[in-house]
Amino acid sequence: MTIQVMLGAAALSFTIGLVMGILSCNRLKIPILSPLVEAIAFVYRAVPFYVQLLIVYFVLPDLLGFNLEPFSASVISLGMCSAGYVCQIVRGGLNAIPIAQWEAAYVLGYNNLNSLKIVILPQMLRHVLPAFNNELDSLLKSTAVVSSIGMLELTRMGMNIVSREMEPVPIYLTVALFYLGMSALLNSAARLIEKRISYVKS
Amino acid sequence: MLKVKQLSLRQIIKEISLEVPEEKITLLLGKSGSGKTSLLRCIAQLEKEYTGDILYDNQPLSSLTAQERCQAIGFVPQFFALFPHMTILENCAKSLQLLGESKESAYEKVRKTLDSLDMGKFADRKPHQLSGGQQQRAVIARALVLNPAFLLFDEPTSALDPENTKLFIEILRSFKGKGILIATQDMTFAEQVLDRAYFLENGCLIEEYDGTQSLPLESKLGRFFDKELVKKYLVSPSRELDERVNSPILQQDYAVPRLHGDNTRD
Repeated sequence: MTIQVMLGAAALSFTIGLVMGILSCNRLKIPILSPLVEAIAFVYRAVPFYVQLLIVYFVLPDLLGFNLEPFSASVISLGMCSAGYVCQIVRGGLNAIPIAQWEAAYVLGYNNLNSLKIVILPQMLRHVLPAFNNELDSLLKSTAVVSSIGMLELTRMGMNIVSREMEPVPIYLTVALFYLGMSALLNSAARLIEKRISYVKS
Repeated sequence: MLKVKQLSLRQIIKEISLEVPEEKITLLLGKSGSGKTSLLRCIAQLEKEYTGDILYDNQPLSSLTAQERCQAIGFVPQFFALFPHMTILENCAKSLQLLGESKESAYEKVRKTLDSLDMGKFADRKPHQLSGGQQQRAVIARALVLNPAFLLFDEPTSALDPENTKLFIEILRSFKGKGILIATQDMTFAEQVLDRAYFLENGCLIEEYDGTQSLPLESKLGRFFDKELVKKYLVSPSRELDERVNSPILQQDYAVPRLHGDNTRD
C-alpha cells in the first residue's frame, strides 16, 4: 500500500508540478494565469502535509458533498502537496537553461511548444533529476503520515504488530529497514537514469 | 535585398537605416556597446520592441511566418547555442523536420551540407565533442540547411584561432548568392572580407562604406582600422611591425609617438 500511495501521488505530483512549473518559468509567463499558479504552489508548500491530508479527507467531502476513500484522499493530498515542490524544481530548472537555447530554437523556426518539447525540457530533465529523486524520496517517507486517516500502509502495519506483539524495537527497526531498502532502490534507479541521459558518458 | 529603415530600439539603437545586398559581405563595425549585436538581434526578430522597419523583399520581416522568416534570415550567434543533448545531425535536421520534411530527406540534406563544410565525419557527435571551430561550422550548417537568403553572424571569429579564422573566411567566400551581414570588432578579419561596411557608435550609424569609395584615414572607419592595427602591433611586435610603423600613414597618426614613448605626457 505504501508503494501504491507513493506511485499514485508521484504520478499526480509530477504531472501537475510540471505544468505548474512551465507556466511559472520566466520565459513563458502568462498574465493572470502564471501568478495564480505561483500562488497555488505557494499554498501547497506553506500548509503542512498533515493539515492538507485532514482538509482533503474531512473538510472537502463535507463542503462538496461526496465521499472520499482514505486511499484517494492520501494520493490527492500527497500528490498536490508535492506538486508545489515539483513546480519550484521545474521552474528553477527551466530558468537555468540559457536564454540562447530558446533564441536558437526560435531563429530555426521552432514555436514555443516545440522549443519546450524538443530543446528545453530534455535539457532541464538532466539538471533536475537529482532534485526529482529527492522529491520522490520525500514522497515515500511522507506516506507514513497517511496512516493517521486509517490507511494500512507500512508504518500502520508496524504499529498494529507492535500493539499485538509488544516488541517495538525489532518491529520498528524492521519498518525502518523497509523504508531504507525502498529508498536505496529509488536512488539506484535515479543514478542509473542520470548516467543514461547524461551528455558526457564517463 | 534586406533593408533597415529608421530602426530604433529603446536607448540602444537610434534611427539606423542600412541596406544589405545579396552576394556581398556587409560588415557592422564599432566598439563594444555600439549596438552591433542589438541591431543583428532586431533583424533576426529576437528583439521585437523596435520601431522602424526591417524589410525583406519590401515585406516587413515581422509579418512573415516562421517558415518564411527562416528562409529569409539565418542567424549564427556569438556563442553558437548548439543543442547539447542532440547530435550535430539532429541539431541541423530537426528544424527541417518541423517544417514538414521527412526524416530521411532532412538527414540527407544535412549530410550534404555538413560535407560541404568538411563536417561530415562529425555528424553523429554531440556538441561537447567538437572544438570551437567545428562547433561554429556546425551552427553554420544548421543555419544553411534552411537555405536562408541572408546569413547574420555575430562576432564570428571571437572564439576562433587564426587557422579556424582562415577556414571561416574560405567558407564565407564559398557562399554563392547569399547576402552576409557580420557584426565584428576583429579588424584583421574585417580587412580580409570587407565588401561593404557600416560603422556604429553609441547606437548611431556614423559612417558607411559602399565598397567603391576609397577609405580615407581621417574617416571613422579608416581610423578604426588603423588604430586597431597599431594596437595589435604594439602588443605583439612582429617582423611586420617595422613595415607598418614606417608607413607614412601610421607614423603620422598613432604609431611613432607611442612606440618611442614620445606621447603627450612627456
